[in-house]
Amino acid sequence: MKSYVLNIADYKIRFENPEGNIDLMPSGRYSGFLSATENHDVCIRVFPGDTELPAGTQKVFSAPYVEEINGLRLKKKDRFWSVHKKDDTLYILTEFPFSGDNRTGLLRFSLESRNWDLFLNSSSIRTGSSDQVFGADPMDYLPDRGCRAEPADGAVSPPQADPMDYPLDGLILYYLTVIHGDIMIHASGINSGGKGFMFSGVSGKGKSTMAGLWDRHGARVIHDDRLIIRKVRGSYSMFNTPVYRNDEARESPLDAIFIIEHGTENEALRLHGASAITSLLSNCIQHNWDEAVIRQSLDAAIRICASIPVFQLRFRPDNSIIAYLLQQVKTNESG
Amino acid sequence: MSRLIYSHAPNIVTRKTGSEYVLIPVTNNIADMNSVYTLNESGAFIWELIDGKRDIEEMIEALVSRYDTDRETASEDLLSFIGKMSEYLVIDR
Repeated sequence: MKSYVLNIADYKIRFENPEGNIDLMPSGRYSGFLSATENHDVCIRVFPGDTELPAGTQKVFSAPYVEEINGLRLKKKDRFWSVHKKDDTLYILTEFPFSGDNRTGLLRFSLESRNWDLFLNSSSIRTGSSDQVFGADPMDYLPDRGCRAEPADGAVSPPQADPMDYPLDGLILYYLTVIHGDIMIHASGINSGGKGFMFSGVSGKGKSTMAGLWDRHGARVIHDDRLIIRKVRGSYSMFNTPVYRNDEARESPLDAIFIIEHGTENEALRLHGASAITSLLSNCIQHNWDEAVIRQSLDAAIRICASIPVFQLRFRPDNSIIAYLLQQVKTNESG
Repeated sequence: MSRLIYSHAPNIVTRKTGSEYVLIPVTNNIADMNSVYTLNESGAFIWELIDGKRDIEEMIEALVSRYDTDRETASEDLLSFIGKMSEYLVIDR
């Protein structure tokens, strides 16, 4: 494809290759997020080319490559992705560790502009088979699976690239939340009987466990790991983001926020004021290198906490938590 | 006690909500990105006393007056607060 639009969390993200020299090939996890809309909130122009930072840029934020295994965070290497600034122009320089070695991308953008440019180095551009609709997911590149994007039966087609390869997907979405005054958060979310509950906590606190319990109870799981919270059509909603193959776009109203941790009993404590805001923000994805960016996230959390009740929740990882929470919410509504 | 005057460090964003504060440090590394702090009402009172003008003695006086406490307790509380928040304070000598 020379261009397409993804609708993720109600952000319309258009990708195009103005030079017509590569096919843009979103991976399979984006298949449920393709949109036919002509409108867009941001247009990302994709170019094969140099990913060197321009002279005079200043590094303002960086992330090492960390792998999490059974709750243990292991730093694999210092260099992963970093944010750089020159005047009002921002640059994200990243590697694509899931897709292969020596693959780099440079996103040039600003918080004011809705036209961004993405440069992908030659290693990030691959020769593809002509009959594919979607490119490979990052997991497809693991050694024991081989790489699905090799040419098939000698077919010749233009070079291909996925402009939302990990970690650019999360980075692009994060800066869209900053621009729009929304938040992206480590959380699972479910909808049960029309009520939307969000369960937030860092790794190991029980997000997936909670989503699984509600799933077996018949609730609709919005996502088990990462959500975007936005005010749309006058009220707050939680949205999933594409993480797993076959993800589809999901949305639910947000009625209660729970900051969770495992416990021996079920116990919810309503948080108010600064405690609620801090608890929510602590689990948000934040790049706090700039005061304006921080204020955007902080103000978003303040607005959300003014509308949605926030609870600290210790829970037993069994079915008892479901009845407990439904009763809590009922009591909260009547009180 | 020497005349020590503290100011808020420039690398922190604060927002008052009710009688409390939320504090978020500016950072350049993702490892520190979830450092978000709350100051309760008494912490917020001390935070507001730190204005780059009052010295330690004047702040102790303000605490004694506000909380009807003795000088020793007020001094301990103030120095404990400053110790905990030292990363986000600068001293003007």
